[in-house]
Amino acid sequence: MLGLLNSRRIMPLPDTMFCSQQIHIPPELPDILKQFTKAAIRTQPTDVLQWSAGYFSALSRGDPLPVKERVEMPVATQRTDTGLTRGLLKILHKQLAYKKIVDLRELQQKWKTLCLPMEKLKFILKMDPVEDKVEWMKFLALGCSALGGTLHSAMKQACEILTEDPEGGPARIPFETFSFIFTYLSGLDPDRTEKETILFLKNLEETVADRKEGMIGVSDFFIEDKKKLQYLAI
Amino acid sequence: MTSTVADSSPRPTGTYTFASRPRALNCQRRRYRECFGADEEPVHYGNIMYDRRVIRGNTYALHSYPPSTQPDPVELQRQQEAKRKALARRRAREHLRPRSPEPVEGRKHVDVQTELYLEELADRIIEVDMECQTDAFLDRPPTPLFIPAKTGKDVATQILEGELFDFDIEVKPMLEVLVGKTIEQSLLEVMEEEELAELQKQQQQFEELRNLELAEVQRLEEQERRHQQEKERRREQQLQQLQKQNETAQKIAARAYAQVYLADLIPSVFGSLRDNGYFYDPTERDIEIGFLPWLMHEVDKTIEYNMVGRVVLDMLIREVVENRLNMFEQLAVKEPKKTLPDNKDEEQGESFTIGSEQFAEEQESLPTRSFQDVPPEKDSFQMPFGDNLDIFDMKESDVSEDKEP
Repeated sequence: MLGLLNSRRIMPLPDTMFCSQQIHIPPELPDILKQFTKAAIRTQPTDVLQWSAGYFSALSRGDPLPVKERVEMPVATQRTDTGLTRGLLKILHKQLAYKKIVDLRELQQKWKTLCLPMEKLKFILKMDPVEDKVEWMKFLALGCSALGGTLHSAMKQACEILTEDPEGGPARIPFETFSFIFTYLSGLDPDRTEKETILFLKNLEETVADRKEGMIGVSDFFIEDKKKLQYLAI
Repeated sequence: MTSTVADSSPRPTGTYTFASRPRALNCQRRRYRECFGADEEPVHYGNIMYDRRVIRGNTYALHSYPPSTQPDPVELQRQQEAKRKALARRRAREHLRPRSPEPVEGRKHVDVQTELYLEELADRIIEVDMECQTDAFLDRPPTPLFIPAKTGKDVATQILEGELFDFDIEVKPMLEVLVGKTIEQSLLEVMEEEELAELQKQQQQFEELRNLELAEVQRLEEQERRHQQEKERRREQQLQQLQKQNETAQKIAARAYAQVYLADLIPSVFGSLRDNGYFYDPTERDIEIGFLPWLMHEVDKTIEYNMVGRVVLDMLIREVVENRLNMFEQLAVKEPKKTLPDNKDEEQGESFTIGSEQFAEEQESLPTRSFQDVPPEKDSFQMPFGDNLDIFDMKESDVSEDKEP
């Protein structure tokens, strides 16, 4: 900050400056500073400079900012695994969701802005290798599965990221999205057969279609899963 | 209306002694709204200047006013004595004082001043007004400034441009405020937003839970309601069934009873019908309707003929008897007869037999329906039918009584 202001000194000050009251502060500056500070506090980037660069470039371009919506307490395992958290995934989703297909380089750029380790990105992408471009929803699904260990917890994460409901409420997403993600993930999972997947989805669809206008919430399949587990005696 | 406490001779008969007892002033202006029957004392007030009790003049040579309350009787007596003595002394003095003789008639004594210099005796005291005036207080004038004598050396200097103002130093407080305030403010705001968001989240979670539970409750209620309805329906069904069973049992009972009751209805009906002759053997009926009346009619006729015969016979007999009687009477007149009644009997019997023979002959000429053998020749008079029909049994005596057929 002072560096910036030092450079200011080189810029011509008015000749006759006698007292501190003559120093002029641009009126937008406090606001920008405040927003930036709040964003930084909320996002808690490990490398503030890196992130700030990303922040300001996104701000200057008018893109969605790499800012978390809510303060997230750092998870204990954050340093050991991908370092990805739900909030960070949400940021990525916010920034990249409008494009269906995302350029890999851009993804890397955004990944770096969030101060996440690059190996981890490669690790995630290894699950479903692509070359140049990746479909965003698929990457999101992979990210979710990286967050939650099991398929169902991954679906839960996906619901909560994608939902438009207020936080804490029933995290509902349209059934097509849900089924797409679910099919994709269960397709990657070698243990589950396609038939199981289809059956499961069909069951869910019946319960969902008539009552909830085609939106599926966390409670629908999470509980469902428990019942199913009991039933299958897994 | 002051009270003077006797200083020199305090006789505490009570707590206090008074020259005049204190009493409440009776003010014309009522202090309270009504006076509760205050005793109407005569109002004593007057000018204090003219109150005899107020001591004027020298107070150091006066007799102390004796206390009027509870005076010691000895003291009282002594006082009286003193008074009398004083009075006596004064009278004595008066006596001894040389006085000028009384004025002559038409003259009057007048007091005259005889000193060298006449003194004006005036009632009015000469008064002189004296005045005195002081000046108004003046404020204390300010102390003059203390200006010490000048000491030291005079030195001068000159400031060039750009020397007074150092940007870095000047800007530091501003920066501190700017940055510090920014961080502080943003931190506060973030915390507040966080708190609000957290509250919202908790509210939402609670809503969710509540909705789920509500749904559960509703489901259970529905279930319960359905159970109730089901129970109701089953009960209704059962009741209906019971009712039907009852009805059926009653019907069966009624039926059985009716059957038993009406079991011998038919036989009795038929019996009574038969008794009343509704079932008849046609030939029997025929006999009864056709034959028997005819038979009766025939019997009637026969009997009538019998009767007629008998009557005729009777008449004959009577005539004969009368003729014979006349004859015999005629004879009797000539010869008295003895066995009149015996002859009569024998003759009657004979005439009867004669009569019956005649009848029998007559009857043979009549057309007969031979159901039974008609024995026309018999000794005693018998009916054409056998002895079965008792109705037609007639005694000889009966016949004889019938005079008419």
